[in-house]
Amino acid sequence: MLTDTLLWACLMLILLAVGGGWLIRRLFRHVIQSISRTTQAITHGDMSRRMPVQGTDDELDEIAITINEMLDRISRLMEGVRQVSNAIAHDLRTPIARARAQLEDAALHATSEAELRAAMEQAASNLDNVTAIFEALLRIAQIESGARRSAFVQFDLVPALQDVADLYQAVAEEHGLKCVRHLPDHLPFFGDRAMFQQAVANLLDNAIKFSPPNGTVTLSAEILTTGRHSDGSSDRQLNLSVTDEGIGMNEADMARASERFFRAEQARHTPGSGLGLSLVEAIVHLHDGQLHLASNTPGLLARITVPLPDEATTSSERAGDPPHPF
Amino acid sequence: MRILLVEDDQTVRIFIAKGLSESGHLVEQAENGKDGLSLATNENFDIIILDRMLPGGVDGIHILETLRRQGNVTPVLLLSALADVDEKVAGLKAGADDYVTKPFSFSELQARLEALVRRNRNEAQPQTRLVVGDLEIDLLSRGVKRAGQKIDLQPREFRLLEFLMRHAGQVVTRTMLLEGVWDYHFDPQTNVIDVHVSRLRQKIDKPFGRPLVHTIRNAGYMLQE
Repeated sequence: MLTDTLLWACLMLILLAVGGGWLIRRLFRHVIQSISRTTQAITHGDMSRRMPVQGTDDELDEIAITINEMLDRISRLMEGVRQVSNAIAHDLRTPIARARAQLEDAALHATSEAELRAAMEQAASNLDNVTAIFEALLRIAQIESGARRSAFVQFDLVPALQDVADLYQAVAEEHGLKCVRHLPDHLPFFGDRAMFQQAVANLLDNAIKFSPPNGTVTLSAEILTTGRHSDGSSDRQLNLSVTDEGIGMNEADMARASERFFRAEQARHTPGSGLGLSLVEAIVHLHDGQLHLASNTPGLLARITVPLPDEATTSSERAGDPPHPF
Repeated sequence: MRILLVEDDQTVRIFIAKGLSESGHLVEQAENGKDGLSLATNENFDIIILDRMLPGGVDGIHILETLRRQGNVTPVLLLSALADVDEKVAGLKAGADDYVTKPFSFSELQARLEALVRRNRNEAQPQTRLVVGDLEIDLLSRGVKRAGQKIDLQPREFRLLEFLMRHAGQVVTRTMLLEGVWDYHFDPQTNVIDVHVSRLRQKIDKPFGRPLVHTIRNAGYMLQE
Protein backbone atom coordinates (compact mmCIF):
# COMPACT_ATOMS: atom_id res chain seq x y z
CA MET A 1 0.00 0.00 0.00
CA LEU A 2 2.68 2.41 1.08
CA THR A 3 4.90 1.41 -1.84
CA ASP A 4 1.94 1.90 -4.17
CA THR A 5 1.35 5.40 -2.90
CA LEU A 6 5.05 6.18 -3.09
CA LEU A 7 5.20 4.86 -6.61
CA TRP A 8 2.22 7.01 -7.64
CA ALA A 9 3.71 10.04 -5.95
CA CYS A 10 6.97 9.48 -7.78
CA LEU A 11 5.17 9.11 -11.07
CA MET A 12 3.16 12.28 -10.53
CA LEU A 13 6.31 14.14 -9.53
CA ILE A 14 8.11 13.05 -12.67
CA LEU A 15 5.10 13.97 -14.80
CA LEU A 16 4.82 17.38 -13.19
CA ALA A 17 8.57 18.01 -13.48
CA VAL A 18 8.66 17.02 -17.12
CA GLY A 19 5.44 18.89 -17.88
CA GLY A 20 6.59 22.00 -16.00
CA GLY A 21 9.99 21.88 -17.62
CA TRP A 22 8.37 21.57 -21.01
CA LEU A 23 6.05 24.47 -20.26
CA ILE A 24 8.85 26.73 -19.06
CA ARG A 25 10.95 25.73 -22.05
CA ARG A 26 8.09 26.65 -24.33
CA LEU A 27 7.71 29.98 -22.57
CA PHE A 28 11.41 30.83 -22.91
CA ARG A 29 11.39 29.63 -26.46
CA HIS A 30 8.50 31.90 -27.18
CA VAL A 31 10.33 34.89 -25.68
CA ILE A 32 13.57 34.08 -27.43
CA GLN A 33 11.81 33.51 -30.73
CA SER A 34 10.04 36.81 -30.34
CA ILE A 35 13.33 38.59 -29.59
CA SER A 36 14.96 36.75 -32.47
CA ARG A 37 12.18 37.71 -34.90
CA THR A 38 12.36 41.35 -33.89
CA THR A 39 16.15 41.59 -34.03
CA GLN A 40 16.19 39.78 -37.36
CA ALA A 41 13.71 42.24 -38.79
CA ILE A 42 15.85 45.10 -37.49
CA THR A 43 19.01 43.53 -38.89
CA HIS A 44 17.29 43.50 -42.24
CA GLY A 45 16.69 47.21 -41.94
CA ASP A 46 13.23 47.52 -40.45
CA MET A 47 14.01 49.86 -37.54
CA SER A 48 10.32 50.37 -36.82
CA ARG A 49 9.84 46.79 -35.46
CA ARG A 50 9.28 46.43 -31.72
CA MET A 51 8.81 43.51 -29.29
CA PRO A 52 5.13 42.64 -28.69
CA VAL A 53 3.97 43.64 -25.19
CA GLN A 54 1.13 41.49 -23.75
CA GLY A 55 0.09 43.97 -21.09
CA THR A 56 0.25 41.30 -18.36
CA ASP A 57 2.88 43.23 -16.41
CA ASP A 58 5.09 40.18 -15.86
CA GLU A 59 8.83 39.59 -16.37
CA LEU A 60 8.35 38.86 -20.04
CA ASP A 61 6.71 42.22 -20.61
CA GLU A 62 9.49 43.83 -18.64
CA ILE A 63 12.10 42.37 -20.99
CA ALA A 64 10.06 43.41 -24.00
CA ILE A 65 9.68 46.96 -22.70
CA THR A 66 13.40 47.25 -21.89
CA ILE A 67 14.37 46.01 -25.34
CA ASN A 68 11.88 48.39 -26.96
CA GLU A 69 13.27 51.34 -25.00
CA MET A 70 16.76 50.40 -26.13
CA LEU A 71 15.56 50.23 -29.72
CA ASP A 72 13.84 53.61 -29.40
CA ARG A 73 17.08 55.16 -28.18
CA ILE A 74 19.10 53.58 -30.97
CA SER A 75 16.55 54.90 -33.48
CA ARG A 76 16.82 58.40 -32.05
CA LEU A 77 20.62 58.30 -32.15
CA MET A 78 20.58 56.99 -35.69
CA GLU A 79 18.17 59.73 -36.69
CA GLY A 80 20.55 62.26 -35.11
CA VAL A 81 23.54 60.87 -36.99
CA ARG A 82 21.51 60.86 -40.20
CA GLN A 83 20.48 64.49 -39.72
CA VAL A 84 24.02 65.60 -38.94
CA SER A 85 25.52 63.78 -41.89
CA ASN A 86 22.83 65.19 -44.19
CA ALA A 87 23.57 68.62 -42.81
CA ILE A 88 27.31 68.12 -43.22
CA ALA A 89 26.81 66.91 -46.76
CA HIS A 90 24.61 69.90 -47.53
CA ASP A 91 26.51 72.61 -45.69
CA LEU A 92 29.87 71.53 -47.01
CA ARG A 93 28.55 70.96 -50.49
CA THR A 94 27.35 74.55 -50.77
CA PRO A 95 30.74 76.29 -50.37
CA ILE A 96 32.48 73.54 -52.34
CA ALA A 97 29.96 73.91 -55.15
CA ARG A 98 30.46 77.66 -55.11
CA ALA A 99 34.24 77.32 -55.28
CA ARG A 100 33.93 74.81 -58.09
CA ALA A 101 31.57 77.02 -60.07
CA GLN A 102 33.83 80.03 -59.68
CA LEU A 103 36.89 78.12 -60.84
CA GLU A 104 35.13 76.52 -63.78
CA ASP A 105 33.49 79.76 -64.80
CA ALA A 106 36.84 81.56 -64.68
CA ALA A 107 38.57 78.79 -66.61
CA LEU A 108 35.93 79.03 -69.36
CA HIS A 109 35.07 82.71 -69.48
CA ALA A 110 37.74 84.86 -67.87
CA THR A 111 39.24 87.24 -70.37
CA SER A 112 41.92 88.85 -68.23
CA GLU A 113 44.41 87.81 -65.61
CA ALA A 114 42.73 90.08 -63.07
CA GLU A 115 39.44 88.26 -63.54
CA LEU A 116 41.14 84.89 -63.16
CA ARG A 117 42.85 85.98 -59.98
CA ALA A 118 39.66 87.37 -58.48
CA ALA A 119 37.83 84.09 -59.16
CA MET A 120 40.64 82.08 -57.61
CA GLU A 121 40.71 84.23 -54.49
CA GLN A 122 36.96 83.83 -54.13
CA ALA A 123 37.30 80.08 -54.50
CA ALA A 124 40.07 79.95 -51.89
CA SER A 125 37.93 81.89 -49.43
CA ASN A 126 35.05 79.47 -50.00
CA LEU A 127 37.39 76.58 -49.27
CA ASP A 128 38.50 78.34 -46.07
CA ASN A 129 34.84 78.35 -45.15
CA VAL A 130 34.73 74.57 -45.57
CA THR A 131 37.74 74.23 -43.27
CA ALA A 132 36.10 76.45 -40.66
CA ILE A 133 32.95 74.28 -40.67
CA PHE A 134 35.05 71.14 -40.32
CA GLU A 135 36.98 72.62 -37.43
CA ALA A 136 33.84 73.68 -35.61
CA LEU A 137 32.30 70.21 -36.06
CA LEU A 138 35.42 68.45 -34.81
CA ARG A 139 35.63 70.80 -31.90
CA ILE A 140 32.03 70.14 -30.88
CA ALA A 141 32.59 66.38 -31.14
CA GLN A 142 35.74 66.63 -29.07
CA ILE A 143 34.07 68.74 -26.40
CA GLU A 144 31.09 66.39 -26.25
CA SER A 145 33.42 63.45 -25.66
CA GLY A 146 34.54 65.24 -22.49
CA ALA A 147 38.23 64.95 -23.32
CA ARG A 148 38.81 68.66 -22.70
CA ARG A 149 38.04 68.36 -19.02
CA SER A 150 41.70 67.60 -18.35
CA ALA A 151 42.45 71.25 -19.16
CA PHE A 152 40.21 72.54 -16.34
CA VAL A 153 41.83 75.01 -13.95
CA GLN A 154 40.73 77.36 -11.21
CA PHE A 155 40.56 80.92 -12.53
CA ASP A 156 38.83 84.26 -12.07
CA LEU A 157 36.05 84.51 -14.63
CA VAL A 158 35.78 88.30 -14.53
CA PRO A 159 39.02 89.27 -16.34
CA ALA A 160 38.34 86.47 -18.84
CA LEU A 161 34.90 87.96 -19.54
CA GLN A 162 36.29 91.51 -19.67
CA ASP A 163 38.77 90.37 -22.34
CA VAL A 164 36.02 88.94 -24.55
CA ALA A 165 33.83 91.97 -23.96
CA ASP A 166 36.74 94.29 -24.88
CA LEU A 167 37.24 92.39 -28.11
CA TYR A 168 33.57 92.60 -29.11
CA GLN A 169 32.74 96.03 -27.70
CA ALA A 170 34.63 97.71 -30.54
CA VAL A 171 32.59 95.69 -33.06
CA ALA A 172 29.34 96.53 -31.27
CA GLU A 173 30.15 100.25 -31.29
CA GLU A 174 30.99 100.00 -34.97
CA HIS A 175 27.42 98.71 -35.51
CA GLY A 176 26.07 101.65 -33.49
CA LEU A 177 25.21 99.47 -30.51
CA LYS A 178 25.57 100.20 -26.83
CA CYS A 179 27.45 97.67 -24.73
CA VAL A 180 26.63 97.26 -21.06
CA ARG A 181 28.44 95.00 -18.62
CA HIS A 182 27.21 93.98 -15.19
CA LEU A 183 30.13 92.09 -13.71
CA PRO A 184 31.24 91.68 -10.10
CA ASP A 185 34.87 92.23 -9.06
CA HIS A 186 35.71 88.55 -8.86
CA LEU A 187 34.12 85.27 -9.85
CA PRO A 188 36.19 82.25 -8.88
CA PHE A 189 35.46 79.52 -11.39
CA PHE A 190 36.73 76.06 -12.26
CA GLY A 191 36.81 75.22 -15.95
CA ASP A 192 38.48 75.72 -19.31
CA ARG A 193 39.22 79.43 -19.70
CA ALA A 194 39.66 79.54 -23.47
CA MET A 195 36.57 77.39 -24.05
CA PHE A 196 34.39 79.46 -21.78
CA GLN A 197 35.59 82.62 -23.47
CA GLN A 198 34.69 81.13 -26.81
CA ALA A 199 31.18 80.33 -25.59
CA VAL A 200 30.67 83.92 -24.43
CA ALA A 201 32.27 85.25 -27.63
CA ASN A 202 29.76 83.27 -29.71
CA LEU A 203 26.84 84.64 -27.70
CA LEU A 204 28.13 88.22 -28.03
CA ASP A 205 28.75 87.69 -31.74
CA ASN A 206 25.15 86.54 -32.22
CA ALA A 207 23.78 89.40 -30.12
CA ILE A 208 25.69 91.94 -32.21
CA LYS A 209 24.76 90.26 -35.49
CA PHE A 210 21.02 90.30 -34.82
CA SER A 211 20.74 93.71 -33.16
CA PRO A 212 19.20 96.73 -34.84
CA PRO A 213 21.22 99.98 -34.73
CA ASN A 214 21.01 101.83 -31.39
CA GLY A 215 20.19 98.60 -29.55
CA THR A 216 21.85 97.57 -26.33
CA VAL A 217 23.83 94.38 -25.81
CA THR A 218 24.22 93.40 -22.17
CA LEU A 219 26.67 90.97 -20.65
CA SER A 220 26.08 90.14 -17.02
CA ALA A 221 27.34 87.55 -14.60
CA GLU A 222 26.58 86.86 -10.96
CA ILE A 223 26.59 84.07 -8.42
CA LEU A 224 23.17 83.08 -7.14
CA THR A 225 22.48 81.10 -3.99
CA THR A 226 19.73 78.70 -4.93
CA GLY A 227 19.24 76.76 -1.72
CA ARG A 228 20.60 76.46 1.77
CA HIS A 229 21.30 73.19 3.57
CA SER A 230 20.88 72.56 7.29
CA ASP A 231 24.66 72.14 7.74
CA GLY A 232 25.28 75.74 6.64
CA SER A 233 26.49 74.93 3.14
CA SER A 234 24.51 76.23 0.17
CA ASP A 235 23.86 75.47 -3.49
CA ARG A 236 25.36 78.19 -5.61
CA GLN A 237 25.27 78.70 -9.32
CA LEU A 238 26.88 80.96 -11.85
CA ASN A 239 24.35 82.95 -13.84
CA LEU A 240 25.78 84.45 -16.98
CA SER A 241 23.60 86.12 -19.54
CA VAL A 242 23.87 87.93 -22.83
CA THR A 243 20.85 89.90 -23.97
CA ASP A 244 20.12 91.88 -27.08
CA GLU A 245 17.21 93.91 -28.45
CA GLY A 246 17.29 92.33 -31.86
CA ILE A 247 14.97 90.16 -33.88
CA GLY A 248 14.81 87.41 -31.25
CA MET A 249 13.50 83.91 -31.92
CA ASN A 250 10.15 82.18 -31.73
CA GLU A 251 9.56 79.30 -29.31
CA ALA A 252 9.99 76.59 -31.94
CA ASP A 253 13.28 78.03 -33.15
CA MET A 254 14.58 78.40 -29.60
CA ALA A 255 14.00 74.72 -28.99
CA ARG A 256 16.05 73.82 -32.05
CA ALA A 257 18.62 76.63 -31.88
CA SER A 258 21.47 74.53 -30.52
CA GLU A 259 21.05 71.75 -33.10
CA ARG A 260 23.98 71.53 -35.43
CA PHE A 261 23.51 73.58 -38.59
CA PHE A 262 20.09 74.85 -37.50
CA ARG A 263 19.39 78.38 -38.66
CA ALA A 264 16.16 80.22 -38.01
CA GLU A 265 14.27 81.48 -41.06
CA GLN A 266 15.08 85.17 -40.36
CA ALA A 267 18.75 84.34 -39.83
CA ARG A 268 19.37 82.74 -43.20
CA HIS A 269 20.54 85.88 -44.91
CA THR A 270 23.10 86.73 -42.19
CA PRO A 271 26.57 85.20 -42.36
CA GLY A 272 27.12 82.14 -40.17
CA SER A 273 27.23 78.38 -40.21
CA GLY A 274 24.54 77.42 -37.71
CA LEU A 275 27.16 75.88 -35.44
CA GLY A 276 27.71 78.76 -33.00
CA LEU A 277 25.07 77.82 -30.46
CA SER A 278 25.84 74.08 -30.81
CA LEU A 279 29.37 74.90 -29.74
CA VAL A 280 28.13 77.07 -26.87
CA GLU A 281 25.88 74.29 -25.64
CA ALA A 282 28.65 71.68 -25.88
CA ILE A 283 30.99 73.92 -23.88
CA VAL A 284 28.34 74.65 -21.24
CA HIS A 285 27.52 70.93 -20.90
CA LEU A 286 31.24 70.21 -20.51
CA HIS A 287 31.08 72.48 -17.45
CA ASP A 288 27.97 70.61 -16.20
CA GLY A 289 25.88 73.70 -16.93
CA GLN A 290 22.81 74.52 -18.99
CA LEU A 291 22.11 76.93 -21.83
CA HIS A 292 18.68 78.56 -21.81
CA LEU A 293 17.20 80.82 -24.43
CA ALA A 294 14.29 83.15 -23.71
CA SER A 295 12.58 86.18 -25.17
CA ASN A 296 13.85 89.55 -24.03
CA THR A 297 10.91 91.42 -25.66
CA PRO A 298 12.31 92.58 -27.91
CA GLY A 299 15.35 90.44 -28.55
CA LEU A 300 16.91 87.37 -27.13
CA LEU A 301 18.15 86.43 -23.69
CA ALA A 302 20.78 83.70 -23.67
CA ARG A 303 21.58 82.46 -20.19
CA ILE A 304 24.29 80.06 -19.09
CA THR A 305 23.90 78.52 -15.64
CA VAL A 306 26.66 76.45 -14.08
CA PRO A 307 26.36 74.89 -10.62
CA LEU A 308 29.29 75.82 -8.40
CA PRO A 309 30.80 73.86 -5.54
CA ASP A 310 29.92 75.56 -2.22
CA GLU A 311 32.35 78.10 -0.93
CA ALA A 312 33.98 75.97 1.77
CA THR A 313 35.17 73.34 -0.72
CA THR A 314 36.17 75.92 -3.30
CA SER A 315 38.50 77.74 -0.96
CA SER A 316 40.05 74.55 0.42
CA GLU A 317 40.59 73.28 -3.15
CA ARG A 318 42.10 76.57 -4.11
CA ALA A 319 44.54 76.53 -1.22
CA GLY A 320 45.96 73.27 -2.57
CA ASP A 321 46.11 74.36 -6.19
CA PRO A 322 49.16 76.06 -7.62
CA PRO A 323 48.37 79.63 -8.71
CA HIS A 324 47.36 79.80 -12.33
CA PRO A 325 49.52 82.14 -14.41
CA PHE A 326 47.92 85.08 -16.14
CA MET B 1 67.61 83.02 -45.22
CA ARG B 2 68.53 79.38 -45.55
CA ILE B 3 65.42 77.32 -44.90
CA LEU B 4 64.98 73.56 -44.52
CA LEU B 5 61.58 72.29 -45.61
CA VAL B 6 60.58 68.75 -44.61
CA GLU B 7 57.22 67.86 -46.13
CA ASP B 8 56.06 64.64 -47.80
CA ASP B 9 53.12 66.03 -49.78
CA GLN B 10 54.60 67.09 -53.08
CA THR B 11 51.99 69.72 -53.94
CA VAL B 12 52.34 71.45 -50.60
CA ARG B 13 56.14 71.19 -50.67
CA ILE B 14 56.49 72.71 -54.12
CA PHE B 15 53.98 75.43 -53.23
CA ILE B 16 55.94 76.48 -50.15
CA ALA B 17 59.37 76.14 -51.78
CA LYS B 18 58.32 78.22 -54.77
CA GLY B 19 56.88 80.98 -52.62
CA LEU B 20 59.90 81.14 -50.34
CA SER B 21 62.39 81.11 -53.22
CA GLU B 22 60.45 83.95 -54.85
CA SER B 23 60.87 86.04 -51.74
CA GLY B 24 64.61 85.48 -51.94
CA HIS B 25 65.20 82.58 -49.54
CA LEU B 26 67.34 79.53 -50.13
CA VAL B 27 65.18 76.42 -49.66
CA GLU B 28 66.55 72.95 -49.02
CA GLN B 29 63.87 70.25 -49.42
CA ALA B 30 63.39 66.81 -47.91
CA GLU B 31 60.41 64.55 -48.56
CA ASN B 32 60.82 62.09 -45.71
CA GLY B 33 61.80 62.13 -42.07
CA LYS B 34 65.13 60.34 -42.50
CA ASP B 35 66.51 62.78 -45.07
CA GLY B 36 65.06 65.66 -43.09
CA LEU B 37 66.75 64.56 -39.90
CA SER B 38 70.16 64.07 -41.50
CA LEU B 39 69.97 67.47 -43.25
CA ALA B 40 68.83 69.16 -40.06
CA THR B 41 71.61 67.67 -37.94
CA ASN B 42 74.47 68.03 -40.45
CA GLU B 43 73.84 71.49 -41.88
CA ASN B 44 73.02 74.94 -40.59
CA PHE B 45 69.69 76.59 -41.28
CA ASP B 46 68.08 79.84 -40.19
CA ILE B 47 64.74 78.12 -39.79
CA ILE B 48 63.23 74.67 -40.25
CA ILE B 49 59.69 74.01 -41.52
CA LEU B 50 58.66 70.57 -40.38
CA ASP B 51 55.61 68.58 -41.32
CA ARG B 52 54.26 66.81 -38.28
CA MET B 53 53.35 63.53 -39.93
CA LEU B 54 55.94 62.04 -42.24
CA PRO B 55 56.24 58.60 -43.83
CA GLY B 56 59.05 56.18 -43.06
CA GLY B 57 58.98 55.96 -39.27
CA VAL B 58 60.69 59.29 -38.52
CA ASP B 59 57.96 61.87 -37.92
CA GLY B 60 58.24 65.61 -37.34
CA ILE B 61 58.07 65.42 -33.56
CA HIS B 62 60.86 62.83 -33.54
CA ILE B 63 63.12 65.07 -35.65
CA LEU B 64 62.30 68.02 -33.42
CA GLU B 65 63.04 66.14 -30.21
CA THR B 66 66.32 64.78 -31.59
CA LEU B 67 67.44 68.28 -32.59
CA ARG B 68 66.57 69.76 -29.22
CA ARG B 69 68.35 66.91 -27.40
CA GLN B 70 71.47 67.71 -29.37
CA GLY B 71 71.25 71.31 -28.22
CA ASN B 72 70.24 72.58 -31.67
CA VAL B 73 68.12 75.71 -31.16
CA THR B 74 67.27 76.51 -34.79
CA PRO B 75 63.71 77.92 -34.82
CA VAL B 76 61.26 75.23 -35.91
CA LEU B 77 57.81 75.84 -37.36
CA LEU B 78 55.57 72.76 -37.31
CA LEU B 79 53.07 72.19 -40.09
CA SER B 80 50.23 69.88 -39.33
CA ALA B 81 46.80 68.72 -40.31
CA LEU B 82 46.12 68.03 -36.62
CA ALA B 83 44.34 71.20 -35.58
CA ASP B 84 43.55 70.14 -32.04
CA VAL B 85 44.56 72.44 -29.18
CA ASP B 86 46.15 69.48 -27.42
CA GLU B 87 48.14 68.57 -30.52
CA LYS B 88 49.37 72.14 -30.70
CA VAL B 89 50.44 72.03 -27.07
CA ALA B 90 52.24 68.71 -27.65
CA GLY B 91 54.11 70.22 -30.60
CA LEU B 92 55.16 73.31 -28.67
CA LYS B 93 56.20 71.17 -25.69
CA ALA B 94 58.43 69.09 -27.95
CA GLY B 95 60.33 72.30 -28.71
CA ALA B 96 58.56 73.87 -31.69
CA ASP B 97 58.56 77.67 -31.86
CA ASP B 98 55.33 77.96 -33.79
CA TYR B 99 52.58 75.76 -35.18
CA VAL B 100 50.63 76.26 -38.40
CA THR B 101 47.69 74.03 -39.24
CA LYS B 102 46.84 72.81 -42.71
CA PRO B 103 45.24 74.15 -44.77
CA PHE B 104 47.05 77.49 -44.50
CA SER B 105 47.61 80.48 -46.72
CA PHE B 106 51.12 81.20 -47.87
CA SER B 107 50.97 84.72 -46.46
CA GLU B 108 50.18 83.30 -43.01
CA LEU B 109 53.16 80.91 -43.19
CA GLN B 110 55.51 83.59 -44.46
CA ALA B 111 54.44 86.13 -41.85
CA ARG B 112 54.98 83.60 -39.09
CA LEU B 113 58.40 82.56 -40.42
CA GLU B 114 59.56 86.15 -40.48
CA ALA B 115 58.23 86.79 -37.01
CA LEU B 116 60.11 83.75 -35.72
CA VAL B 117 63.44 84.76 -37.22
CA ARG B 118 62.96 88.32 -36.02
CA ARG B 119 62.12 87.14 -32.51
CA ASN B 120 65.25 85.03 -32.46
CA ARG B 121 67.38 88.09 -33.29
CA ASN B 122 65.58 90.46 -30.95
CA GLU B 123 65.68 88.30 -27.88
CA ALA B 124 69.31 89.28 -27.30
CA GLN B 125 68.64 92.91 -26.35
CA PRO B 126 65.57 93.89 -24.31
CA GLN B 127 64.06 97.07 -25.66
CA THR B 128 62.44 99.92 -23.74
CA ARG B 129 61.63 102.13 -26.70
CA LEU B 130 60.35 101.35 -30.19
CA VAL B 131 60.55 103.81 -33.06
CA VAL B 132 59.10 103.66 -36.57
CA GLY B 133 59.43 106.88 -38.56
CA ASP B 134 58.07 109.73 -36.44
CA LEU B 135 56.08 107.35 -34.23
CA GLU B 136 57.64 106.24 -30.98
CA ILE B 137 56.42 104.30 -27.98
CA ASP B 138 57.97 103.97 -24.55
CA LEU B 139 57.45 100.47 -23.20
CA LEU B 140 58.14 101.51 -19.60
CA SER B 141 55.97 104.61 -19.27
CA ARG B 142 53.51 103.29 -21.89
CA GLY B 143 53.67 106.65 -23.64
CA VAL B 144 52.99 107.10 -27.34
CA LYS B 145 54.13 110.04 -29.44
CA ARG B 146 53.91 110.86 -33.10
CA ALA B 147 55.74 113.86 -34.56
CA GLY B 148 56.33 114.97 -30.97
CA GLN B 149 52.60 114.96 -30.22
CA LYS B 150 51.32 112.84 -27.35
CA ILE B 151 48.65 110.24 -28.25
CA ASP B 152 46.32 108.65 -25.68
CA LEU B 153 45.71 104.95 -26.20
CA GLN B 154 43.63 102.42 -24.29
CA PRO B 155 45.73 99.60 -22.76
CA ARG B 156 44.60 97.14 -25.44
CA GLU B 157 45.28 99.64 -28.22
CA PHE B 158 48.75 100.10 -26.79
CA ARG B 159 49.38 96.35 -26.88
CA LEU B 160 48.14 96.20 -30.46
CA LEU B 161 50.45 99.04 -31.46
CA GLU B 162 53.36 97.49 -29.56
CA PHE B 163 52.83 94.19 -31.41
CA LEU B 164 52.75 95.98 -34.77
CA MET B 165 55.86 98.01 -33.88
CA ARG B 166 57.76 94.92 -32.78
CA HIS B 167 56.99 93.43 -36.18
CA ALA B 168 57.54 96.66 -38.12
CA GLY B 169 58.21 96.07 -41.79
CA GLN B 170 56.66 92.59 -41.62
CA VAL B 171 53.24 91.35 -42.51
CA VAL B 172 51.22 90.55 -39.40
CA THR B 173 48.18 88.34 -39.99
CA ARG B 174 44.86 88.65 -38.17
CA THR B 175 45.45 85.30 -36.48
CA MET B 176 48.84 86.48 -35.21
CA LEU B 177 47.23 89.60 -33.74
CA LEU B 178 44.45 87.60 -32.14
CA GLU B 179 46.96 85.26 -30.53
CA GLY B 180 49.61 87.83 -29.71
CA VAL B 181 47.48 90.72 -28.47
CA TRP B 182 44.33 89.05 -27.15
CA ASP B 183 45.72 85.59 -26.39
CA TYR B 184 42.79 84.11 -28.33
CA HIS B 185 43.18 80.82 -30.11
CA PHE B 186 39.98 80.44 -32.02
CA ASP B 187 38.53 81.87 -35.16
CA PRO B 188 36.12 84.69 -34.22
CA GLN B 189 34.34 84.47 -37.63
CA THR B 190 33.77 88.23 -37.64
CA ASN B 191 36.09 91.04 -38.54
CA VAL B 192 36.90 91.90 -34.91
CA ILE B 193 40.56 92.54 -35.66
CA ASP B 194 39.78 94.90 -38.54
CA VAL B 195 37.61 96.98 -36.25
CA HIS B 196 40.36 97.31 -33.65
CA VAL B 197 43.00 98.16 -36.24
CA SER B 198 40.72 100.77 -37.79
CA ARG B 199 40.28 102.39 -34.36
CA LEU B 200 44.02 102.46 -33.85
CA ARG B 201 44.40 104.11 -37.24
CA GLN B 202 41.97 106.82 -36.23
CA LYS B 203 44.36 107.76 -33.45
CA ILE B 204 47.85 107.25 -34.83
CA ASP B 205 47.40 107.79 -38.56
CA LYS B 206 44.42 109.98 -39.36
CA PRO B 207 45.53 113.24 -37.66
CA PHE B 208 48.96 113.00 -39.26
CA GLY B 209 48.11 112.54 -42.92
CA ARG B 210 50.77 109.99 -43.74
CA PRO B 211 49.65 106.46 -42.81
CA LEU B 212 51.97 104.03 -41.03
CA VAL B 213 49.57 101.10 -40.73
CA HIS B 214 49.05 99.48 -44.11
CA THR B 215 46.54 96.83 -45.11
CA ILE B 216 48.14 93.98 -47.01
CA ARG B 217 45.54 92.37 -49.25
CA ASN B 218 44.68 88.76 -48.42
CA ALA B 219 47.27 88.72 -45.66
CA GLY B 220 46.92 91.23 -42.84
CA TYR B 221 48.60 94.43 -41.78
CA MET B 222 52.03 95.97 -41.79
CA LEU B 223 53.40 98.91 -39.87
CA GLN B 224 55.93 100.68 -42.03
CA GLU B 225 57.21 104.11 -42.78
